[in-house]
Amino acid sequence: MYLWIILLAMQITRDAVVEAAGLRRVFRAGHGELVAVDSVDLAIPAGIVFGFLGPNGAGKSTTIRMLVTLLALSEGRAAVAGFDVEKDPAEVRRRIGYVAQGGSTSAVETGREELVMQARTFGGSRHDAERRADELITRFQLAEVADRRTGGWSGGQCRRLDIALGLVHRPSVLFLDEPTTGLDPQSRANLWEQIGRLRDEEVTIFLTTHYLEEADALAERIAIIDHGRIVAEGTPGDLKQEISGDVIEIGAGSGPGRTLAVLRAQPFVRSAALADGAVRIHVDDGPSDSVSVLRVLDRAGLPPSSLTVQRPSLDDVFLTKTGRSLREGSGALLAGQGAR
Amino acid sequence: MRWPSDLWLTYRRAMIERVRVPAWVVVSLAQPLLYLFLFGPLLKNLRSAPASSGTSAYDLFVPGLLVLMAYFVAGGAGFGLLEELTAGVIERLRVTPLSRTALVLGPAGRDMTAIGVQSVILLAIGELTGLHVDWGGALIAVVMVCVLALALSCLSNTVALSMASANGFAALFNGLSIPVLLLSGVLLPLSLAPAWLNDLSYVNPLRYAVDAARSLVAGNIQTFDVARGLAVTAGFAVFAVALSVQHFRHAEA
Repeated sequence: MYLWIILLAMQITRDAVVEAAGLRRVFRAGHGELVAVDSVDLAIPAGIVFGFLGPNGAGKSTTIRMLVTLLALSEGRAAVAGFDVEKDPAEVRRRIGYVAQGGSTSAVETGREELVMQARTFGGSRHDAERRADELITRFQLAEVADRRTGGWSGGQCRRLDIALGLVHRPSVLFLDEPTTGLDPQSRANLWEQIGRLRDEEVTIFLTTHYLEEADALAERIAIIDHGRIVAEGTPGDLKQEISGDVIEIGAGSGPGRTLAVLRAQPFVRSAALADGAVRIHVDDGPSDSVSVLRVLDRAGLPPSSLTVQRPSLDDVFLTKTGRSLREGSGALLAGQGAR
Repeated sequence: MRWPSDLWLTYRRAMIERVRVPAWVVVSLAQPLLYLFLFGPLLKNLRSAPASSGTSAYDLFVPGLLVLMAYFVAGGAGFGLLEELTAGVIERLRVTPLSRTALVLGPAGRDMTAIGVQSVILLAIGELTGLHVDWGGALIAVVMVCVLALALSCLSNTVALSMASANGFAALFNGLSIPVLLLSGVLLPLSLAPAWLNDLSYVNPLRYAVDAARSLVAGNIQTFDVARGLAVTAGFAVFAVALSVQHFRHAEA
């Protein structure tokens, strides 16, 4: 066991700022055990945006919480910014920022007070803390509300403050756990912009999301996690290229379930799943196979309402790796039990 | 040594959190008055004090109220912690280098401050309404009750953090109130109790504090009750602080 971990650790590149080998976390759940994270290996080079993509309950937050020293590891080892998370948690904390999923501020404190206190927990003078708070207030466009209690702020403003709080000490790694979940499109666009700016400043960003577009737009490297295990890893381009062939999306109107069943049985269909009420199938040759789709569905009495041939997306990567679509609500629901 | 400056940060924060809630300020200041004005008239009409002769029921009851207030203010500290836990504040602070000792002692310091102020108000108004206060002894009693508040606050936060449920914590806190307070002798003196009940009360650290507070406020400073009360309360605080720091260091909630 240990030899195996050491061997894995040796493979990890030297300049990785986040590295993990054989990461595993088990929770007690009633009489049994729930393996939330299993055999996760990570090696994230400095200065990139790393996207950790997966449905709710896949183990994203559990992994992040182990990396930021909040959760003990059941097995394996992890190092962040050069320090072991279990042996040197204090050193890790000095070098990382962590923005949790559900907010992190008290309703009766003002934004400025929160920033100044957060800055002072890292040492340094009151004066420096106040100056840093000013900088972040300007940068995150919070000047108007900074001296009001956060209880009266909007969701987007609170989120920006959460991120500003994670940055007070200029960390080398910033962990963002589903930063845009529940935000309106405008606030989301604003956050994407901020994240892009951080990347330019060479802060390494570890970002979890269940939005494919987000991972695709922001991340240079992506790991896809499902049921606690990493099922694919690479650049978005590599991952998409891994799936040769095309995707056909069929508008099924009244009977998506039956359409799915009929298509799944066809030899030319490599995989099939429901996504947003449509059926998505993965085939070798989109243009010619779409003719076969039409013929088969016509014969089955299930004429499609629409049919488009597409290049594979990240969702199709997820689909081929797990047999489920990330867009499909039921898949996320089934997997959503272990979220912590 | 960075925990003293960290402690100032957490203490200041804990105070701000409460002082900005008007209900908390009003209730904290009104509580001693309510106890005196509602309980006082009943006690003054008690013909004979059930304890040793020479002390009135009022003299017996009011010092015990110090311990009662400590139980409710510091014992309820866990509710505040659960609120912060839900808001994500605790988690955010735990990912900073902030000293774990400071995380625990900040809120406890807030409760000690509250109890200190409340105790002085209670004793001052008590004296105006007929309580015999020996201020030398009373000052020691106030310090002792502050140390008791430290212990209760730490214990309360530890239990709340490990339960991580406001409903569960409320049930436990309410369920414990009556046995703990009855067995401390605050409400009715344990000299009225049968031997088994009196013996049982010695497992309750609050009992020693109540005995000592009565003796101290009456001016009987160099007594066995006082020495024992101070020793037990100090020991209780050391135990509670150590437990709670240990728990915050390893907690995963």
